[in-house]
Amino acid sequence: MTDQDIVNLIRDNKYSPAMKSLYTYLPVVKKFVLKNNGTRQEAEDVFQEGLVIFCNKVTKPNFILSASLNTYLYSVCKLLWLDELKKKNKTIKNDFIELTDANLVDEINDDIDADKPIKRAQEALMKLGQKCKELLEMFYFKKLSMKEIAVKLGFASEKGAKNQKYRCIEKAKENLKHSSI
Amino acid sequence: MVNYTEIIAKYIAGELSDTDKTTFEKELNSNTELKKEYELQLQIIEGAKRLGLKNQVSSSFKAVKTKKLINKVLIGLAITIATIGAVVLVKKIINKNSSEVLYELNEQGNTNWSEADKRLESQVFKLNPLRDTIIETKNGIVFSIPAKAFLNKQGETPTETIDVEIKEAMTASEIIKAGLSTMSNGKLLETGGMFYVNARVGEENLTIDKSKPLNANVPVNNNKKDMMLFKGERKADGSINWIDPKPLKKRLTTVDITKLNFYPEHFLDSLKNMGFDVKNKKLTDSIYYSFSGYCLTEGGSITRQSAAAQPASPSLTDTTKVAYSFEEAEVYHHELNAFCSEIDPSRVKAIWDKKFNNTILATNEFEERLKVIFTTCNAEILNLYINNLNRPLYQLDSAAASVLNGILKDKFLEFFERGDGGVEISDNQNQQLQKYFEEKRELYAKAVNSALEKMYKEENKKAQIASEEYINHLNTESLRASKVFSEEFELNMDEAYRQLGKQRPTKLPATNYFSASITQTGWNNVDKYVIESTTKRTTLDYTDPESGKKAVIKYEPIMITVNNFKGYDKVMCYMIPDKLSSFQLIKNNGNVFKENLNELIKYSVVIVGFKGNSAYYHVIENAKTQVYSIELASIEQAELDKKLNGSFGLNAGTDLTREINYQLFETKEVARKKQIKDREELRYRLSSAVFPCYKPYVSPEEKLRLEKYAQFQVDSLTRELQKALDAYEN
Repeated sequence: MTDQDIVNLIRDNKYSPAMKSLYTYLPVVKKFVLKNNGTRQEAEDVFQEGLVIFCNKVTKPNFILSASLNTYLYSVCKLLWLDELKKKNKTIKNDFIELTDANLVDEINDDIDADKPIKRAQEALMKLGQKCKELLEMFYFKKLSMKEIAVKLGFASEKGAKNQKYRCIEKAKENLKHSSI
Repeated sequence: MVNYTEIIAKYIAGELSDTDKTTFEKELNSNTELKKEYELQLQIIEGAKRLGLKNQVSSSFKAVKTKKLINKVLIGLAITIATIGAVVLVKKIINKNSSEVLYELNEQGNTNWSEADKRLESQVFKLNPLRDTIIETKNGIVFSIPAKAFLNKQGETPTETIDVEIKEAMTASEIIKAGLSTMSNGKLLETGGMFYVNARVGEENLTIDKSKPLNANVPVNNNKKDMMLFKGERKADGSINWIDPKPLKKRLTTVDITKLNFYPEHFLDSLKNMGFDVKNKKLTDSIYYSFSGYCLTEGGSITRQSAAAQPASPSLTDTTKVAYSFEEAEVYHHELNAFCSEIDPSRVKAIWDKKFNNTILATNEFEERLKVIFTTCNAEILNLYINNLNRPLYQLDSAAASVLNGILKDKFLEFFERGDGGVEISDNQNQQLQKYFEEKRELYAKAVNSALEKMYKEENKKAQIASEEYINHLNTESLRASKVFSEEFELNMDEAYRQLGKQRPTKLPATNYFSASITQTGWNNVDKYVIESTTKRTTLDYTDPESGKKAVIKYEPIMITVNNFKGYDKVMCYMIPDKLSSFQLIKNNGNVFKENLNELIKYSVVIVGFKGNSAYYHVIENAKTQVYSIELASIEQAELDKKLNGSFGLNAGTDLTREINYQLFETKEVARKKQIKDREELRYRLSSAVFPCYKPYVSPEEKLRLEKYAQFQVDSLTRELQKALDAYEN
């Protein structure tokens, strides 16, 4: 599968085959994280965050892949881990910075910054009940109609589901406000 | 606030009317709180998308992780089979000189060719897509390509000649020359060879009809069990990464099922030791199948035991005969109490049939498993294989292993690890064979059961007749013997009185001589001595105490030995006295027939030997008190009857004929009983070979418990096996 194939799959919402290919890059990232004060679990978390940022970027209408997918993904993960280490007040070993392309570093840093509020929103959503989470995920990520969602989640009517959706968003917004303060 | 959320959501979803929308946008610009809410809501929506994405990412991760785990266990043969892409293509053939790539676009419809594509020579086979075709590559990979295996972009089978292009790297040097690595996601694989295959019509790529996969037989030196098929993925740098491992199916080679040995392991050996011709399959089959219904069936019902429940009546008094019938009863007894949840031979007969040729059963691999299946003593394990002819053996092995314990589990795991595949078979054929099996199994079980039932019934009837005959003979014989005795006694009495010169007193009643009560004195003494002399067949030497006169009647010995005595089943020796109405039996000790002859009587001696259905005969006319060594001569029964009737007095002849016919009957009866005894003994000795878990002695309580347990076992086993098999579906 070429980089473009993977990008196309993600844009077509065909995540499973895309992920299968993307996970072939995990070992490199893992190796790096393990080398730099990280655990296996942290490496996997960082890699997943990197994938989320990448996928999100890919689905943007004006997306262009400026570096090879391999380089991009690896770099995102490195920078994310750098942030993590900063939070922990830890340093990294010398062999860390090997990203030569300053433009790419800038681009990725922008992507990570852009992701931060979204991630916060995601965390706010995580505090919701299971049903709310499912409902919002189905509607906004899986793009199911309210009618389908009503059936799947067992609402009496589409209207009921819709009202529940508003209440969920309301609650999520409340959560988000508090976390921002 | 709720109103805000709702209206913002509707606005974002484009659900507001035009006027509402304009109003909303105006408000948005002026109302800072609304604006804040609006932005917050957009953020939440992005967050919801991210949540979905995150879930997607981590669930894929779990899936990949599981797969990795499998990879770790099963690293093996790397064969590349490039799945053929379905994209249309065009025109230009790339310059051959610089590269071995013959076409512009690869099977996926792009120009991404790996180093290996460029360096390995293409072998192009032109073939008719409407026919089954077998092609062999230079290195000996054999592809079998079913008719209509390839489809064009319209999803139809092309009618024109197609080109099948194959590249192969089977040896280390070829692999290195091609720059192929055996890396799979950074892990090194041990390779059994790699190949590439694609089909085209002209430049157009064809796809493989999923229902008609090609079969590639790759020559490998050591067929390791966990060799797998990897898919090659061209990387941007020209290398190939191997992904998507799939277990290789080792297709089984079928043989003629009738040439296989489906008997339990020690069955033929046992037969051989017992002296049977084990090459005579008809014979060995008939012995084996006769064990059908020997054990309780798994339903717990007693099958033919009911027919055998009545042992031959042990009314015979001869000690050896009693022993026979006693043992016979013992054997039946075993059967009655037998309990075994075993594999009934009718099941084996039902599958040992040409109908099952070209299935997994007609393979050496199954033959090997069947030996072990017998030792599980569990028909469900056999059924597992019979009911799933469409599955590869390794799946069935693992299902069997999952329900067994100990050594048996290990055995089936060992089979499983061989990774033996299956034999392709249509669902329809599979179903038909199941049906065939069930029908035949029942049919054979019934046939054997009713044949055995009939046999046992007949045997019981014969035994009944024999015992009646025996009793009749016993009665007539004792009457006849006492009659002859009384005649001889009368003769002796008359002679004794004559010698003493006295008048005989009134005769005693003719019956019941043995218990005659002697109440008178005087002459009673003579009578007493004569009785003693006649009974013991010893010389009477009596002196009358009153007159001093003597009465002497001599009994003198005759001795007869028969040449080749041991060659006969039985030899009988009879004296025919001229003065008496019937014959007398000469007793023997081994080959020595000895009796004392009464001097008052002239004797003929008839010796008859019995062997099977034949009689042998010798007669000594005018027998003397001496030693005879005689030779018996074969004689037809009719001839013998004639001789006996003609040579002696009417009564003696008839009696002797009847006697000898009875003896002949008894000889046959003894032979018949011996045959039954041998057969039952054989069955008993073989039963442990046929039924490895056979338990001859089981108390009724134990039997009940075992039956219940067996039923439970069968139920739960069936469930467990199904579960194990279902696991393969997912």
